[in-house]
Amino acid sequence: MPTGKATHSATISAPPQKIYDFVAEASRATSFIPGLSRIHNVQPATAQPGQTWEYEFDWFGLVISGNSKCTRSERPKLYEFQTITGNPSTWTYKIEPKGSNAQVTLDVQYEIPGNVVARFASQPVFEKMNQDRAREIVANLKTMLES
Amino acid sequence: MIRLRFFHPGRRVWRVSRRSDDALQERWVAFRRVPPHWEKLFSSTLDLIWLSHTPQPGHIQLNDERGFITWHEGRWVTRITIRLQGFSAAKQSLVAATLLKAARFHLLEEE
Repeated sequence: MPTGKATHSATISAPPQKIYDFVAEASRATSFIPGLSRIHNVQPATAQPGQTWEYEFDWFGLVISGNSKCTRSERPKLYEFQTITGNPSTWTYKIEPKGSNAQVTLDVQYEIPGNVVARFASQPVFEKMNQDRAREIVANLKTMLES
Repeated sequence: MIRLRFFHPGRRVWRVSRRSDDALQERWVAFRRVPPHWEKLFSSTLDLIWLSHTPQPGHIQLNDERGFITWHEGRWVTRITIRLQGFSAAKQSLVAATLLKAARFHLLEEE
């Protein structure tokens, strides 16, 4: 299956620890990821490799549900998880100190589901939508943490 | 699993009005059989996004004059009003959307 990648970075006026703590709570993701409807069955409660949860994502009318697993948690510099069923993808948040602020980079690698692309969009359009969504997620994170 | 859904499962919670100036005010209507524990639902959501607040029966006041959430129970519906102020317009929208998701999907989990 073909794969795609979406990346976006921004400087956020907050210390890396605060940003890490915000993104590493799985249930909180509904507040800054557009289309993410719900997260449930988070086990165990604290972020750590092996932590799992269930998600439901509304992608322009398509509902994608599945399970996720935290794969790396290195407070305060890196948090990574994978969606292991549904549409497989790897989400990595890198948080680097930048003076009293932090540079946050979201990197999403995903499989491109052929049936969805065939039905609703060409592959470049699909990739642009995902790139736009990565930009929106980082912008929302900045909004939630700064204002 | 990927599935196409024409009717949103949270369609029993509707936003019926939205007014935005310096503050954002929305009114929602929730159709339900049994009223959920709104105070617990909204309070835990506000905790999750680090917004300090004071819960009271039928009402939650956000601290530092950041707004409020109220709900009134009818026989089949709950009428909910949220008002958010003192944040950027973008944050007000994100907080309102987060609360709406909580209201919609909490009802699903209650079934």
